[in-house]
Amino acid sequence: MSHTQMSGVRIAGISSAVPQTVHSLDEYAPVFGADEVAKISDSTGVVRRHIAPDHVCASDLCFAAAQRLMSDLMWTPDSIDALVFVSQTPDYRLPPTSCVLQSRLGIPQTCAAFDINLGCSGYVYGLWVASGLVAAGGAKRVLLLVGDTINRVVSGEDRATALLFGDAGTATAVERNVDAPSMWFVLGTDGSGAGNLIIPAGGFRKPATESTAARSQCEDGNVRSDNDLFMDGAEVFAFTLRVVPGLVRETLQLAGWALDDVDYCVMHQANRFIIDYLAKRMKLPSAKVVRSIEGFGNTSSASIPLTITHSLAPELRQSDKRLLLVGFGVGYSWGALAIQCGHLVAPPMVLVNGSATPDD
Amino acid sequence: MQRNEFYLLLDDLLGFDPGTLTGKEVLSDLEEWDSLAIVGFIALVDEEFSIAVPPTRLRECQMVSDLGDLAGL
Repeated sequence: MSHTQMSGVRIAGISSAVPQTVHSLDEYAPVFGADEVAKISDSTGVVRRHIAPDHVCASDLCFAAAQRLMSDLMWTPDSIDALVFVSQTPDYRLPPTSCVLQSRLGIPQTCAAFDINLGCSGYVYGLWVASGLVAAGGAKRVLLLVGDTINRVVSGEDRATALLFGDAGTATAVERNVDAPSMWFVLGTDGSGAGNLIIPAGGFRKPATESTAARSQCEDGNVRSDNDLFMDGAEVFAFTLRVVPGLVRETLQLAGWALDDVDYCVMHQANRFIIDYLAKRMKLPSAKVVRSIEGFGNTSSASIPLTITHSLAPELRQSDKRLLLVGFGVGYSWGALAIQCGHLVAPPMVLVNGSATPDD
Repeated sequence: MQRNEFYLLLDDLLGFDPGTLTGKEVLSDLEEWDSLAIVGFIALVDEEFSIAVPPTRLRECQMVSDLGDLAGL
């Protein structure tokens, strides 16, 4: 796996934004039956989630999170040298959403901007790239915007996905600081698993047509189309068991940390069963494993920063903590980061109301 | 581990009373053997036997006794 030690870079702040509207899983009882919904909720740990209305994009949520963070940090738009947007639910196939966001946020034309297409591992990859830009001298301040609206791409009649995801956007401020402790990254990829977590149509391999939009009953008994997200839960679970314990071991080894040195482990919030099983396998005490799955669902690329905002913000405002961030999933792609950080600017969760539009 | 102990673990996984499963059951007849149970089974075999069950092989299983074969019993 790819190993990196990054020096002279710190995280200055993290903020998260979610749609104001909260949906309880009970709403799905007419589709799947109340018993089935309760059984799924019991396993995944999802009780309710914030779901974006159709006209609110991941970029709108990231925009709200970024505005709040820049204001609280007193980062002026002209001090931002690069903007990185990580998402699988961009505004357009082109142009890059990062370019649209540069203009919306009032950041001057001197800013570099680009998108990264990753999901569950996306936050760790985004921090790797953002801190790499700073460490290499290409930028003093980077705004990393990470978010998804996965509910826009799931079939409401697919029990593997309909009850799992939440929508969220986040902003992380990364800046040069010569005194910052090192960050250690380990990253990897196994594209042979691409087909197990995929939206088959809508790209250029299989363009979206009337027939790819037609939903029908699939082999697994669920109803979806080729324009909808497909997830083979058993394959994805087997992949996480194969990869994540070794990923964590390698990252701790690289950082020279023992398991006891970790104050908090923030895993991608895939579902509660996976988080709890991995924690047990890696012998991580439950109190060190942070979760946001119950109230927010699996928020894809946003799940790690959202969980930090939700569960760790008060502590991280006051003091330094040793965090282990672990992302894994779609691709397959994975990454982990060992970082000591704190004294962060971490605003309370931003709620975005349904009327948010790019003109706001 | 003996087969009967293994079936007790499966009883627990699927929410049956202890001693329900004998190995002769057809998996497709068991309503409880769903996608969540499959993920639970992969975790169980990983934990108890340190064996990584490939989901493709799991899908080929027809009888409860076939699951014991996968666990190396």
